[in-house]
Amino acid sequence: MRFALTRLGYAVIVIFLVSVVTFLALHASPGSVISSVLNVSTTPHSVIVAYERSHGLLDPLPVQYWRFVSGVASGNFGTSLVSNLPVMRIVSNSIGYTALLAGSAFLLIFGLGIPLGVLAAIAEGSALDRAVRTVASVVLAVPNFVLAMVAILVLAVHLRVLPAGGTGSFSDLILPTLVLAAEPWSLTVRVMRTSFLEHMSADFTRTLRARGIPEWRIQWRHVLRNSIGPVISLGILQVRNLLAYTLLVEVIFDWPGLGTQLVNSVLQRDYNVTEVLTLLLAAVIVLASALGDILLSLVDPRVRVSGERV
Amino acid sequence: MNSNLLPELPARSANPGRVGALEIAGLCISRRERRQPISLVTDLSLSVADGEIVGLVGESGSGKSLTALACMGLLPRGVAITAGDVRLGGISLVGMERKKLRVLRGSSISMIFQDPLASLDPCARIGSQMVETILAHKDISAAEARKDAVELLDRAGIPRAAERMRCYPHEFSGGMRQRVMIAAALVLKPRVLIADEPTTALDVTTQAGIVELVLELRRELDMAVIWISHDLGLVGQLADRVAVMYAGEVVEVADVQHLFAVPRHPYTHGLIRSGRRGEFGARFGFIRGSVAEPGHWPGGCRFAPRCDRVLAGCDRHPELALLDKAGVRCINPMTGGSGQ
Amino acid sequence: MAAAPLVTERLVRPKERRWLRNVAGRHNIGWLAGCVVLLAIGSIGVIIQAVPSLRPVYLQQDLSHTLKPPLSPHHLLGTDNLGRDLAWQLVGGLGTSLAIGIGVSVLSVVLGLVIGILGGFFGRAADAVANVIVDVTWAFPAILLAVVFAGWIGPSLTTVILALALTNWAGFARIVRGEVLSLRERDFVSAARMLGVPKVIISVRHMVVNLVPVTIVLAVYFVATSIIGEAGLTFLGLGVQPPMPSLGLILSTGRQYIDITWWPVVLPGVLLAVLVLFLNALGDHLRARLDPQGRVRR
Repeated sequence: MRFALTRLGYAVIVIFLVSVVTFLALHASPGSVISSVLNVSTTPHSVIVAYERSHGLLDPLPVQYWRFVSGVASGNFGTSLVSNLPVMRIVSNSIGYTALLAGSAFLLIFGLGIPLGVLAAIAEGSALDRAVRTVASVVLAVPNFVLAMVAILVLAVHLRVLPAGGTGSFSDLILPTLVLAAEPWSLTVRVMRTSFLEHMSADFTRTLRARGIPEWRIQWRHVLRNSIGPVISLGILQVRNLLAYTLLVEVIFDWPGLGTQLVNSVLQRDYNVTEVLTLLLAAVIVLASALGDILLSLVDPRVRVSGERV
Repeated sequence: MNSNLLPELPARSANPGRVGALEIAGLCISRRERRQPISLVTDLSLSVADGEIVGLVGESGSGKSLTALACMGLLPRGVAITAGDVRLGGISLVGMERKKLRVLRGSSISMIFQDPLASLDPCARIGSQMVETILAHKDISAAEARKDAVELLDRAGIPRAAERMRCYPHEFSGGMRQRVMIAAALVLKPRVLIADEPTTALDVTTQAGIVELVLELRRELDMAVIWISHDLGLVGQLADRVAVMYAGEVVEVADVQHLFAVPRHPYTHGLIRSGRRGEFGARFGFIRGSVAEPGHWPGGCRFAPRCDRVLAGCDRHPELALLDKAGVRCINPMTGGSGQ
Repeated sequence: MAAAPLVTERLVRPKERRWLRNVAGRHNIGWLAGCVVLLAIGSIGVIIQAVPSLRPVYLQQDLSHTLKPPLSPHHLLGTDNLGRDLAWQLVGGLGTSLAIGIGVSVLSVVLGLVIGILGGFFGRAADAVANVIVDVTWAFPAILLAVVFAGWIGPSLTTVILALALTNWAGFARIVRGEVLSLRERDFVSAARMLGVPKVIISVRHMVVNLVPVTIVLAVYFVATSIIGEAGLTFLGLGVQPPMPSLGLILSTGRQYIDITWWPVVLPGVLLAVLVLFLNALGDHLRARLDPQGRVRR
């Protein structure tokens, strides 16, 4: 329990620093904020200064920072410079989509990754095993946006099996989810398989066999529980990667989640949106990392906490 | 549930105690290699009667653990029995269907291992591990199985057994863990118990407790026991007969008293002397040289390169001549006191 | 003080030479050849961007011949949406990728070494600071970093380099720190410190030297991840901007015209995949030779 509190406390400190970094990068030069609204070269200087003053852009940085942070903390995320919608609304519109995509991918990664990894291990050397491992290797070799493009090319354009974008129906979700889940799934299958195989020849497995317990029971009740640890650790590490990939996949498939919002906001210089979304996503990563460490310290009955993160 | 798969074993009462509960005859175990298989255990014969404790002694690499695993049908991948037979109460185990063999394991023949921490599932409570074993063989209710488990844990010397059923293996001390292992192995009252160096990882006092436990249980259950160890002194304390293994074969078998009084094989002699301490606490009597790797054993007597009593005829492989369950594999055995 | 260098000298030398011999062995001919080919093509890619008279080779637009498929006359691999020759675009893009990849890798490695050694060797306070810096950086995956930098200085080559370098160095710094923690207990370090050699010198002469094998292995992996990273960020519009050629830009064009063309998608994709596979395999091979104890964790 003490560990959990310390870990969360540290996470809060990190989030605070993250907010400072985000703020400095996006606010530090008022010119960057202004240029998204006014055309700097053609607007008279006095108008620029007036604008700056009215938007509090001439105040000292710490004051501006405080305004930013207290705003975020109280739920007032400001207004989009481009669309004039409250940023909060933009977030709430998109967050559902991102959650849906990430959640589906998560289900696929573990729901398909763990069983296949186990089956591949049990049937070691068989055709199934080799097939699973080959697919995993191929997927891990190809960058995921390339994979996405090839998938779109083959499945959407040429074979016309699945749609390439939009959010109309369930089938729109399939391709993005597959692409998103591909790489983490491959890693999960690999780790699960290796861990399972290692434990299949462990001492305690030998004892269970010596007691005449059926092999299937040994596999699914004992070995699985013992070998799933590394998969959980990997999963925790993957949260960060999954988030980053989700952003990328959303843009490729025109999926209206936080990712597309974020990238568009930067390209359109809509900094109010950018800074809030950036802070939000970074905070999620920090918290996920902290929760992961805490979870790990609880899961193993032998309490073997190394506290290491890669 | 499984009773119809259980082969008919001759009842113990029908045995006057002279016929082997476990009989190993001419067992050969080899490891599959690229060119040709490497022999790991050659022509091993040993028999254990009900209620008898036979100690199997030898250096690491002599093949004792492999022999034990072969009896259980648990040889690792790439290693297999290439000849010979293992008979449990007269039933041949070699070549038996795997399903039937699994039924026998744990219920008729059981094994305990060296490192109880590594040999117990760390993520499962010991109670559930024991109940699982029982239910895998007997068609009774979970509650009854739990009762049996508690009973045996208690018998094995675990205090507050009923409570401790819910504990995990790492919550026990080394000696208690080994008792748990023994309890789990004997919960179905098997006919034969193979103990592979069960006390090697324990301190001397704890060791004594385990030895005593096994002796008691042997008496109660009339169990045949093979006790494997590299510690000849320990084996001397508890075995009825001792078989000494070297380089994959048995080189001497004898009653425990005879073995220690008159060790006949030079290797046995050397082992006993190595265990003795001199006047000033110094050990003496090492056997010079070291045992060769499997695959590199000499064609004749395998101990010849290290033997002080080697003769010209030792380049031919000596046979183990058994007389009244005792024998020695040597053409120039020692006689008289251990001073020679 | 004159005695000091002598003692530490002898203790360090054997380890230095061993890995050098490993790398320059005869079995490595295939790998060396691959690297040479790669660097050659990459250099061409950089040269055609650097020398003004050569630039038309990939910049030349030909609006009457846009989106031609491969094996068209004059254009072995086809053209893009502005009629530019795709083959030269790919070569240029490869040059960009390699240059950025190597640059980022070097940057990450240097940063990682400095922070890692500072954290592991220079006391608790430095370690705490270093850890916090690493953790804050950890909160920003490459895309987020790129977004932040793009917001700050606009999407560009610099943005990509900064974003990727800062993504890689944190993990590397952690590994370095771990290694330094174990290295500092070693005899030659204690001896040097006892003799009064300043920490900075110990760091450079001994720690870095012993970290070279691990560093080389990771540097190669970083080149691979940076190449992917650059292509991805540019693809999103956050990175290199035209007219600088980039594999990501070609892919992005391909995405726009995916209904009617396949080559702007498949060609850079294949090139990227092959490149990454080669670099990963090289990294694995080097790891087997230089780091058999598995100190590198991927």
